[in-house]
Amino acid sequence: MSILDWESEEDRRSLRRALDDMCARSATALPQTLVDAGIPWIGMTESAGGSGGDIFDAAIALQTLSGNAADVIGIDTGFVASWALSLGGLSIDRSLIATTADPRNSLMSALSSSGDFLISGLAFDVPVDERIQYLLVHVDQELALISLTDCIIHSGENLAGEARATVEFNAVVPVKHVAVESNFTQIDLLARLALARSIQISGALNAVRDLTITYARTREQFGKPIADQQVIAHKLAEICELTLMSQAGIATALNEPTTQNCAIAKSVTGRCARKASMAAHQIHGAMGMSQEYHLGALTTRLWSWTEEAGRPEFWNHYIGQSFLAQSDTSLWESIVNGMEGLHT
Amino acid sequence: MSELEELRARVRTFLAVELASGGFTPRCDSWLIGYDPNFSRRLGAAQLIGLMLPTEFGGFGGGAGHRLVVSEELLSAGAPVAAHWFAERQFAPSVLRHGTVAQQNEWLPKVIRGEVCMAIGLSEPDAGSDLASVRTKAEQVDGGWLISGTKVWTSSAHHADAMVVLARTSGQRHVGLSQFIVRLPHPNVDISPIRLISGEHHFNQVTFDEAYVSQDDVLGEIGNGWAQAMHELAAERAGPERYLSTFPLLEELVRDLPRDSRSAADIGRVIADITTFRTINHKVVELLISGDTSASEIAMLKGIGTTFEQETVGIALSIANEPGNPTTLSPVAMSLLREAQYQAPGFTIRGGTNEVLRGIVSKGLLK
Repeated sequence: MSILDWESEEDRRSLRRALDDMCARSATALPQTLVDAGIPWIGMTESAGGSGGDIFDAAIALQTLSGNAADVIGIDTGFVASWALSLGGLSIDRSLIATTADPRNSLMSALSSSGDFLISGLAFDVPVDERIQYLLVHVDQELALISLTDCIIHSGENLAGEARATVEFNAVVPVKHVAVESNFTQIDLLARLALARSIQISGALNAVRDLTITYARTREQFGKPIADQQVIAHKLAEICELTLMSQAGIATALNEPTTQNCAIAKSVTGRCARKASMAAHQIHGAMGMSQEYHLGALTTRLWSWTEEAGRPEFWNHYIGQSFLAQSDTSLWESIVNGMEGLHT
Repeated sequence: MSELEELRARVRTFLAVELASGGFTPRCDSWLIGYDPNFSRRLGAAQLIGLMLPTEFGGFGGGAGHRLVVSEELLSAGAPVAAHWFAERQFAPSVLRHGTVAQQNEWLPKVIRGEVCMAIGLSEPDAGSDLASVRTKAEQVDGGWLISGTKVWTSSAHHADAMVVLARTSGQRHVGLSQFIVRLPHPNVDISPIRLISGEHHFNQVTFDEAYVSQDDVLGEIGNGWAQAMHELAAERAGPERYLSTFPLLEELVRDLPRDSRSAADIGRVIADITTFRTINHKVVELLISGDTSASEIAMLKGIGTTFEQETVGIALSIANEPGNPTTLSPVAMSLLREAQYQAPGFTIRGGTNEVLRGIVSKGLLK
């Protein structure tokens, strides 16, 4: 079976259906419904207080909720925060944890006179609101879990109206912290966050594709559906190509979530999102610009997520630099090695 | 090491020995312009041709994964595989699927040994993207057929041992088409060059003037030619040759870059895209094995892969000219760059233009 078919297993399809059903009910009640159903903790083992399931199940949740343009603050708790905490041998009871590893963050640690580990600085575009209890940061080779009640939160929103705050730390004592091995750096944490956003992008792109195909088949101009115009048909095909490309980008990373593959996923999905969102708007004409219509809720998310957790150009640079930094591997070998074990 | 990893290592060893002994010079687009029958024979002797063909004919008896590993290693290295490429990629699978026992026994062992150069005669002066408009016709005579008409853009016909010709056997648009194996040279077949903008001779115009073909050289069933050709086209569309045509150039250009090169993001983008194409390629290979040749993923991979190939020419020029990178190109790099520039427009045309492919994709959507 191709790794591109990871979504088609029956368990995952039923999880997708269940999530679609939850989204179809009340939008205002959805966040609580998701919490009650344990969705944010999919991917965390039950012994660690999670809801069980693996990285693919967690990805289905991220993808499906994003395709519904649902309120997803905290939904990546299992996918990002608990994964990182488990690397440090830490676990935490069911709570909603945001993660920040933005390259612009300026965080530093210090030891107080009484030996407490203290964190100060600023973190940008953090997806937190009053529902989130903790923030996970990587600072000076420590993973630290901070209670948001100890921070100053300057709230804000991204293009889609999702909470994105600037969080200020003034000698905050973390709830927990643990030293991590030197090969786990802030970029590795950022890459995992980037994969989460890539999965979200892929989910929203699938929805944009479906919405646009439906619209083009329904909307008539010059006496026929606009999809029957060859230029429109080709634009629809282009959106499908870009959607396939982003599906393949995340499938590669989910199958083997190395930092390089996560970086690739974000580079690919972000670039596809830019092109596909513009093509979708072009096909929709003025209708797509209306707030009442669903397209904008998806495209504004695509634009925001593309820029978050490292924009495509950031990751391209990272991948290229990693290649240039090693001198004894050819370009071809490094492409093949990056996928080692994938198809054998 | 897994079986596929061992196979990959074996190809790499073969290529390393060839390179060290001057066996070949890397070329862009080597599956089209890298014609070297001796290289093909050495590759055949190393059991690296016919990976998916049955062992009874001397093949490896492997799966599509085996063929993909060998293909991508050869193409990424720019190895000159044009002499046997079409014979292995389209002709051999078609003979295996549709051919008679006698055809299989005659052709497959030779293809596997790398001794057969095949041309595939599809396009005509008035049948390019609209392939079903083929007008070359075959008239039944005692013991065989007489073929008349003209094929154009036929790769390697001037080197070929034979040519598979799609010809009209009745007036019906699709079911009126059949395939014939025309052995070359042939007294009633004229082959003349169509030189490319590079000045090189890879394509031909082939004229058939009542060229006799024995009944034994009919490939598959009369009237089934369109279906057979579509199957071959699917195989043609869906390989790494749709995203690796310029790779030897990129490999050469990045070799001596400084660690702090300003081209890092360009290189990262190349790694990201090719990694992703490879994932799609594995899916496409599965579709082909399952016989699903109409799947839109096949058309989509060719569309996005060849668009990427064209963009890599710009990336290569940018790497070549970026301040801080080596100021002069090696002769090999210069030659590869020229090749890529000359060949680039063809990437999105051959094997079905990207417009035709997007038509296929959108038709699938709107069904």
